[in-house]
Amino acid sequence: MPSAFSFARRVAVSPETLIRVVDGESVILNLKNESYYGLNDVGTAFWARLSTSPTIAAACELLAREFDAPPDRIRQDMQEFVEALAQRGLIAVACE
Amino acid sequence: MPRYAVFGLSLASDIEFPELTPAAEYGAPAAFRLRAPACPSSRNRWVLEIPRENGAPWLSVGRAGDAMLLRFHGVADFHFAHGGLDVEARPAPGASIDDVRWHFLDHVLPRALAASGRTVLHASAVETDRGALVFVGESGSGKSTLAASFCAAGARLLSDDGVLIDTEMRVVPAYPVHRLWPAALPVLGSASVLDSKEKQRRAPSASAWRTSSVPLFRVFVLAPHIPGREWIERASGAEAMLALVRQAYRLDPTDRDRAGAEFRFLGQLSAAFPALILAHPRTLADLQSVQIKICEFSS
Repeated sequence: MPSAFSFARRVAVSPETLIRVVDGESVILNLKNESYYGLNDVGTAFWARLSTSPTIAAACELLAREFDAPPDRIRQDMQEFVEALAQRGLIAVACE
Repeated sequence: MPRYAVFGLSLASDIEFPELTPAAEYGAPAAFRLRAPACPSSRNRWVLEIPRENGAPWLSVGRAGDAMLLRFHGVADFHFAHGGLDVEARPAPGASIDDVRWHFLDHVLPRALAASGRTVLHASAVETDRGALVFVGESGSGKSTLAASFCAAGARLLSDDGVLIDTEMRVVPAYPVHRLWPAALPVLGSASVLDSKEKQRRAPSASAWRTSSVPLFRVFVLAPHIPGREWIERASGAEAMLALVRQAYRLDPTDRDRAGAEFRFLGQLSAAFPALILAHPRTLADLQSVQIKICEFSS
């Protein structure tokens, strides 16, 4: 499925999003609507790379090396991950 | 006005609280004042409605001017400043004073404490030789019965339903009351109350009640029993923290500052005290075996 965003962009974490890592997993709080979400260890790794990399593509490259996984698979998972986070108002894909 | 020890506070009250321990100097000040019955007002701004299981209204949370208002339908309106612990109660027509007092202790004070920046969990807690064991869970999950069974075996009660954890990760004693379903009363050696469907209140003996804070030792999250599965398992990090988040008392869901502070505190708590999932069979006959399992995980 074609992506609704460019992998050349970076994501910005909403200032109203709080995250806490506990024992390798994460809990996210969206202060706008007081919704809580859990991330498993893989989701936590995706969040860590995504929120600190200059572009989404750069995060994918790091994760492909980290998990020794095919880049296409990582891109597909990342697309779903970014869309899910954006849909919940936790991140925004920054303008170029 | 008499003063009582409750949740680490020194509560001044213009009515008697026979279930509380008198205490002249105890902790931060709080107050309870009984006022004339509530008058209807259209100026209240409601922010949260919590119904009973049958859909009838149970609790409405709102603002009345600058004050917070908790309306327990058919019982009373409780007013207090946001972040404050000075509560005025205006009973509903026909409500009994016992019911007003119990709603204040069981439901209003934990929420007022939460709004004042403290963390209170839907949980029971007992003191053992190793420290405080906290049993977190939904209503009906068995946390009161479990706490009562530990007290019957020599532990001291810290709280039956609302557990206040301070910033040093100590459990602060709430008030000395067991609230048990009639069928669970034999756990404390009381006869069942066959003609009642309400929780029954029983006071622990003085030696079975802890009056000062106890360091937290273990957190157990109560979950439904699944035959064939282990009764106790380690919770994953996110699972443990989400369980605490779900069971934290909150007053005003629109208070973002408080939600953020609570989130950070529960994160620290989850990291420092990895929770265990406790999914035991809900039968009185299994309680002793459950205690033994809990003790194995608490040594």
